[in-house]
Amino acid sequence: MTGENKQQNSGLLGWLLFVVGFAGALFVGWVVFPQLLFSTKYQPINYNHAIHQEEAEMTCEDCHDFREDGSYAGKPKLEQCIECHEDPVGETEAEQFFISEYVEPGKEVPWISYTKQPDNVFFSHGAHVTLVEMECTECHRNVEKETTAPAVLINRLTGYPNEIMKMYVCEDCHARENISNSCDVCHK
Amino acid sequence: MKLDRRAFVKLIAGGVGGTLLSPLPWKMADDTAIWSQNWFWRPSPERGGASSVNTVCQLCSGGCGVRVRLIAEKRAVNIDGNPTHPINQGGICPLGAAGLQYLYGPSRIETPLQQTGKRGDLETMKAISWDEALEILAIKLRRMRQKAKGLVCVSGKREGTVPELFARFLHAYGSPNYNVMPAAADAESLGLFVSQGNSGALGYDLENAKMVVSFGSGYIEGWGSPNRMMMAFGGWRSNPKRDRTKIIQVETRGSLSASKADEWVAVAPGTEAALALGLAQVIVSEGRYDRTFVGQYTHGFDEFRRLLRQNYTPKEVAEITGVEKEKIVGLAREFAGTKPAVALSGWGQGRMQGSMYDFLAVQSLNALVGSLHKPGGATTTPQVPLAPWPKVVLDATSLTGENEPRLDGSKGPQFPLPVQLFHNLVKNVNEGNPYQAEMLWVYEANPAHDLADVQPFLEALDKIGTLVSFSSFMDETTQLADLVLPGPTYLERLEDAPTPPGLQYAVFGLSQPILSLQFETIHPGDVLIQLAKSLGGNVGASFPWSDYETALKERVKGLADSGRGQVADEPGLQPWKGGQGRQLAPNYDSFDDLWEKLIEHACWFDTSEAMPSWESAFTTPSRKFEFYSQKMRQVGIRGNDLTYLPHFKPVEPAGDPRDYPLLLMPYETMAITNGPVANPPFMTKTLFDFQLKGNDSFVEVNPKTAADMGLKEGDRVALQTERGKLNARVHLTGAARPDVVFIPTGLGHSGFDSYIKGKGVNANVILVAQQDQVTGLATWWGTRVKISKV
Repeated sequence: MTGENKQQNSGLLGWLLFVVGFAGALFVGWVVFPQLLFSTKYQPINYNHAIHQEEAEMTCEDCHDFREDGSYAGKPKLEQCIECHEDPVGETEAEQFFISEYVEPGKEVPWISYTKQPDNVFFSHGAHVTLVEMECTECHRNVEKETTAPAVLINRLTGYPNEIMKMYVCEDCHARENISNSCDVCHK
Repeated sequence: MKLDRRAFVKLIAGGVGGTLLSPLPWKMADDTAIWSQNWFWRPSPERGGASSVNTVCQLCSGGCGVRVRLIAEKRAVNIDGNPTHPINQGGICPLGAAGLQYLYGPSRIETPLQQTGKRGDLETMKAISWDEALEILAIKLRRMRQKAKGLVCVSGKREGTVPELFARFLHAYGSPNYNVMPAAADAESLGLFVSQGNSGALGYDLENAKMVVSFGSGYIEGWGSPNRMMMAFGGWRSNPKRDRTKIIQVETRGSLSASKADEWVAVAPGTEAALALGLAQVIVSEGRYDRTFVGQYTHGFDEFRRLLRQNYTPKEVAEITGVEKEKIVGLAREFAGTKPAVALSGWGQGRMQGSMYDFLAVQSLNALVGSLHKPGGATTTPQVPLAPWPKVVLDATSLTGENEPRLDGSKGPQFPLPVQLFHNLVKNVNEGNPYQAEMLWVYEANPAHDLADVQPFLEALDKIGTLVSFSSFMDETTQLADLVLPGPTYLERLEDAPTPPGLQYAVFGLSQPILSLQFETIHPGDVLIQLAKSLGGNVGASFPWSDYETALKERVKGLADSGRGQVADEPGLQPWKGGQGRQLAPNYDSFDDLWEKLIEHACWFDTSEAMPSWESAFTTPSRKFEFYSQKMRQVGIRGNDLTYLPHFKPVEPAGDPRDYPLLLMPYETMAITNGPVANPPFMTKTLFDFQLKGNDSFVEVNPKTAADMGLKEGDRVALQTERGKLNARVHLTGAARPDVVFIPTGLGHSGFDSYIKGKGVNANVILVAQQDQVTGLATWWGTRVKISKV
């Protein structure tokens, strides 16, 4: 091989390596990294939102209700579930498991939140749902058709779930609706 | 084919390029920021529903009803006043509002502690279990039973079932040495004893008074029940102008109370009582007194009149007090001519024992104008009809103990009057007279910081074998303890709150645990019951209850059985309206109902026994109000006529004026608490920067005095008294009269936690307490001082 060829080969190899590095990094960044970053957690019970809405004709507020003082109660308490599920209502395995593991021992279900906001954000469901009558689905995923409870992806670094709403989403909507975006609206 | 340097660089460049086009760096940067917000030590709010619980504040003896906001029923986030509580009517003071800083503050003691090394060394304080702690104490108590009288207890809480349990334990064990921290209530109780026949507390019907003459009382600075006083002050000031209550403040210092009064009468230091007698003299000599009351319901008026004529004419009083003759005459006429008018006694917040004669001088004014047991006047605080506990079971040791002389010398040959003399106890312990103190128990008190003239107390500790603290906090006294049996804070425990000082009707407040115990603490009442059971014998038999709650309920049954009073369950209650002895229709029908309502509303009150009639009010030998006290004679006080009459008897401040040219007077302010808890950080923040700047305390100096000494605002000075030396900075103010300097008490903690300690200096270190030779009461109204620039 001539010296020139050597140089050409080396140049080609160089560009090949560049592409390998580039593609590898893209692969790591887009595919490997998200898998590493998030741990997958499953709800303690395979909850079926669809069946509650379709067959029991329940609305979101029946379980995700507001307290008397207007504050949002979040995830339902066991006592709310027991109103219907003191004894099995259906025949699913999930319900049987729920009754034997939680209803009978009187233990609260450790639901995992899909959208837990950081402590430094003051978010009022009352202001958004009660006052300006926003739909739940304007911010949350629509769970109407969900027959199984999807896995929750928890960010290993931050401890928050992946569905967490980022600040720009809040700001965009506030800007569109002519609501103040001043810091102390959300950061008290 | 070989991977050369260039090719490697290209690989890396490709990697970097690819990485930049992937979410990795951006997501990592964002998440790292969020991660940094979640480090474990940053506070995270409790999530859940909010609820409100009523309870009673126990941070001072004010007895205010508070409402605590709880999240998820376990995290307290706010304390506010309870609008249904008649004392504070929804008001709250800065101390009460800062209560959560005690509950969650780092100075809380988490487990029982035993000192394994040298006293005061926090490194050698070892955490032990409750079983161990109680066993250690029980063994010590069993061993020293033959020297049972050597057990001393000092309580900062003066009334209530827990202090009573402590007194009961000492009684059963065989010690006469149950004590309370000194306060103006001591002089008051003695004064009532010698003039009206009953020891007790004085209540003032201030809400109905048309004129209030305060002899040094910080009526809006923490005197009595602070919130009640704020409410009363609001009432005085909200009256239409022509009908508004006139306030006169007689005080040496231009305090906040002086500035808010209609008139400030700036008397010479320590001469308030002389002015009171001067007013009395004018009222008597001009015949302006209440002839019915004086004629039919008083004893010794002639002797009193003679004394006034001889010693307290306006001319003489003007010389003593520095107040003009005309002013004295005018004030006396106004006081006698305004109905109802009342005179208040007890300096500042009422922390200083002071002088019984000062109290008598002021109260003689109320007697002269018939303002005793009348609406708008002064009365004795009615008793709460609690059922008594069974009698203490005594054995040979406790019977001997009963008859032993008390270490504080009260009811003894030198000081025969029934009063607690903690300063005298300290002196006697230091002298080993008449016997050794073996063990000291401290409950709701922090004498190592709060006791005026603290040095002798610290020396006395060296002579006491064992110091046991029941505190919830690592205060100065607890730091010196050999054994710490930490109690829960008032927000975590059941305890009664008796009628506060200065109130004219009966109140029974109930603190309840509004949340679960934060640490391994046990209620001091339960500790005593368990300890008694472990000792067994007559001590065990004297504590027959399974726990404190049972013991408390037994007493509350008396309340239910009396059928008196009401549970305060609606806002706007005004028990002071409706005159003397107003009967209330009870709003409970059984003990269980009453208890349930007490848990819910936290307060019972009663007006039926407020302001007894003049026929029944006095239990003196003459069955009258005694200007000339026969009761003093009865208990064995010997002296000339003067001894039995109200008179002005100044206790000279300690120190030779040639060495210590100025007079140092302590003062109290609402923004600084005076124990047993230290100033919470929230309150310290409210201090002006001429009260506390950085960690520097200030001493108030008159601009003229300062100019003579070449001192400017903010100069650093050393204050030297006979007892010791402190450094402070100078604040120039006209509120201080020339030649007198003023320093606030309550600062300068060395215990508690890093947020509390080191703020300012503790004035109690350099004050010198003097003793009244008739009553034994201690006073520290002034100490001579030398100031030098540093």
